[in-house]
Amino acid sequence: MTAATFGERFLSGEPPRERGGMEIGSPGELAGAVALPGGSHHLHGLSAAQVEALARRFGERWGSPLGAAAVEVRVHRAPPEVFRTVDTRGWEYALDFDFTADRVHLAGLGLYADLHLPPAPQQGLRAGLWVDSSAPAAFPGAAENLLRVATAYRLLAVGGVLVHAAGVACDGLALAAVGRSGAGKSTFARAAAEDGATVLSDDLVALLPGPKGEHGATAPPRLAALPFTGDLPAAPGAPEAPCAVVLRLEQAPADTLRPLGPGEALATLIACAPSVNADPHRRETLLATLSALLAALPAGACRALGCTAAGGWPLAASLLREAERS
Amino acid sequence: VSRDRRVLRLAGDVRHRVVGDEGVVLRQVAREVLVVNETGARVLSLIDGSRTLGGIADALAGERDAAPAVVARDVTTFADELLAAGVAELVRPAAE
Repeated sequence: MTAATFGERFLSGEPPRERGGMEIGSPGELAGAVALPGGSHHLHGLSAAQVEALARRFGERWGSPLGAAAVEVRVHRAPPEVFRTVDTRGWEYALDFDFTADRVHLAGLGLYADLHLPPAPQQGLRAGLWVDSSAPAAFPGAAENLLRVATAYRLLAVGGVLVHAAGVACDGLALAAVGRSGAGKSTFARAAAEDGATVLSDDLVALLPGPKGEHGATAPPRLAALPFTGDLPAAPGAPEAPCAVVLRLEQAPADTLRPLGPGEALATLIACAPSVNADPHRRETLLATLSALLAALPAGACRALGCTAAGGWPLAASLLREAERS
Repeated sequence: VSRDRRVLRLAGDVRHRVVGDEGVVLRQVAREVLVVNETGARVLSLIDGSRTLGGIADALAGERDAAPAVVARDVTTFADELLAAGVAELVRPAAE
């Protein structure tokens, strides 16, 4: 995406940040924080209504900003004429990105954001979020869109990856059923939930490096829940567990399992690492990070799961039980 | 069998990595990820903008104790696929 075309689907001209006087201040002076894997995301400049809306959206993960922020967001109001009216009928929503070495600009329905990426992860990320001042109901969605992208960058900075996957935990171990939209993640997650497993998310999970053990040995990666979900509600609490299995979901006439080669596994995770996988300035980091995470998984952990409309959960559950025994 | 004197380099948006016995090719512009076998991954690592394809085939044949003519044919075929897919670019054609 070139700078000339960035945002043209959503913005009526220059981004709000470039317009100077077009910005009409922050909605309020309140602040709050969302607790996410990789650290707390603080939001400033909120109105009371926005705080209430975000508290509803993020539940027990929402609270007061305490301590250092992993991501610091300042919310700004922008006049409605900044944003285009988009006819969304029959339309698949995707944000527009403009990537540079140290910044990411994004535009979407009623939102524009400017994300500053620090050279060192301990410094945290900073972002400005401009939202349509005439559409308060759209604010939680706009904020979540930015938080999803910020989470992708924050996780990458700490050696993890945001993955499009249904995450399921059972008996102390977790699996990631990876697939893009329409792959069957929600169906898979629903079947797991009905069987008593804990669903970390049916859409996006955090794959994080495991703790370093003695003699430099690396424990398996951890799979952590996120409040970014598809059809199912967010998991209560903030569950996470060592990741024992990674499945690539494939539609098939019968439930089947086959080993996934290391290259296939890496390619699958690259394709399902949103936002950062499109960023040319982060491709080396993404390749290295995913390679390290995959290398730390137990042998044979990556499989392709061909699944029917029933979702393939019984086969996946047997893999988790097998992993637990070993 | 004539030696393939072409010289290739990887396209600017391409990154690749060897994992286990496979290789992964990331094409940023096309937003594609390709998986290649071990030999393909090794060929990719030998494409450096200066070696000829014949030289790459010699190196591979030496590493794998394989028939040079067979390896040379396979390298040429694979190189043609890389060029057609935009993964690699021609630095020097077969004859100048």
